[in-house]
Amino acid sequence: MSTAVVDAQDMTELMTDPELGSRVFTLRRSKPGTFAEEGVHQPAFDERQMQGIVQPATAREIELMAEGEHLDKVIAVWAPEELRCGDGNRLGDVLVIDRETFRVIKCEPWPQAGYWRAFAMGFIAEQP
Amino acid sequence: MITSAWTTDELGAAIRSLVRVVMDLPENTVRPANQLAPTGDQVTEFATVNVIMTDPIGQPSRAVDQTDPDDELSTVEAIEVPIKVVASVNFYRSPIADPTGAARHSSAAFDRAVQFGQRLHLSSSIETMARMGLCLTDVSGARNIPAVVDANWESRGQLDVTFQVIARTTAPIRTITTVPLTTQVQSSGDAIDTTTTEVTS
Repeated sequence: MSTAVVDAQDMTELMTDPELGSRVFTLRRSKPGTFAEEGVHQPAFDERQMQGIVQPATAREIELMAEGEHLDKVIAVWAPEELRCGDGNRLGDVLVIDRETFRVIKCEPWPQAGYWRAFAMGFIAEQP
Repeated sequence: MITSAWTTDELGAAIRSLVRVVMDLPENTVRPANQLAPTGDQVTEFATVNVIMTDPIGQPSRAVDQTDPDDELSTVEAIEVPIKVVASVNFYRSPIADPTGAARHSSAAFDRAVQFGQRLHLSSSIETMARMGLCLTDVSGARNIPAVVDANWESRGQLDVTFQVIARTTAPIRTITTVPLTTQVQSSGDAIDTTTTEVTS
């Protein structure tokens, strides 16, 4: 029996391969907001296009999320560049895919392998 | 147009301002509760205000006022209702970090809740509340409610503060400006004598 040692592969190319379902969508990344009316946050975002693979989250993946998120529309996104959750300094990324909006709620960074995996929850945004 | 004096958001903003002034906190560190907004690292203290109940008390007083003394057409019906407002005030985090940058164990936020309840009775606080139209009627005991956040215990303190405010609702009253008046006088065998005039209010 032989044991093969496989190096971590650079998956960047796969993230942008249309044959694997890669597609272009809009990324809204938060930048420092301002405050008005005594502590009410006014968020601000930069918007640009990015490419990645979008799939519905599996039942098992949803099961591992907070209970309140089980009934919402959750997608899994693989991207060749960083996707961000919210933290103490910024709000999470917002993705616009086919006119539907999603907020990134969980991130799994694999930069050594050339990709970032994220889960995002859908919400009904105001239509322009 | 019917107008009302307070919205819950305006009430919340007034109470946040009160908490900030009374506790001498930096600007924008007292925020609305349940807001999606970044709050900094583990030792960046902040507070939130949530208006959790409004309850009308007794019967409304009813009056007819003129909003512009020189304009008779500015007459409004004004209803003033005393309302009991309960706000939940929460203080978060302690200001001291351990060598790793994580918040060190402390009851600082609970202490802030205790101090806020006490400081509300200072003359300066009462003057601030009077200026805002808030009448303090009750301060609950402070509760020590730390919670685990980001793999560490976060110091938290909470108390309920009850105010009475006056909610004034006004609605314009349509004023009769002129009333046309027609009189018809007739004697037997005579023609009808018609007189038309206008009575002005």
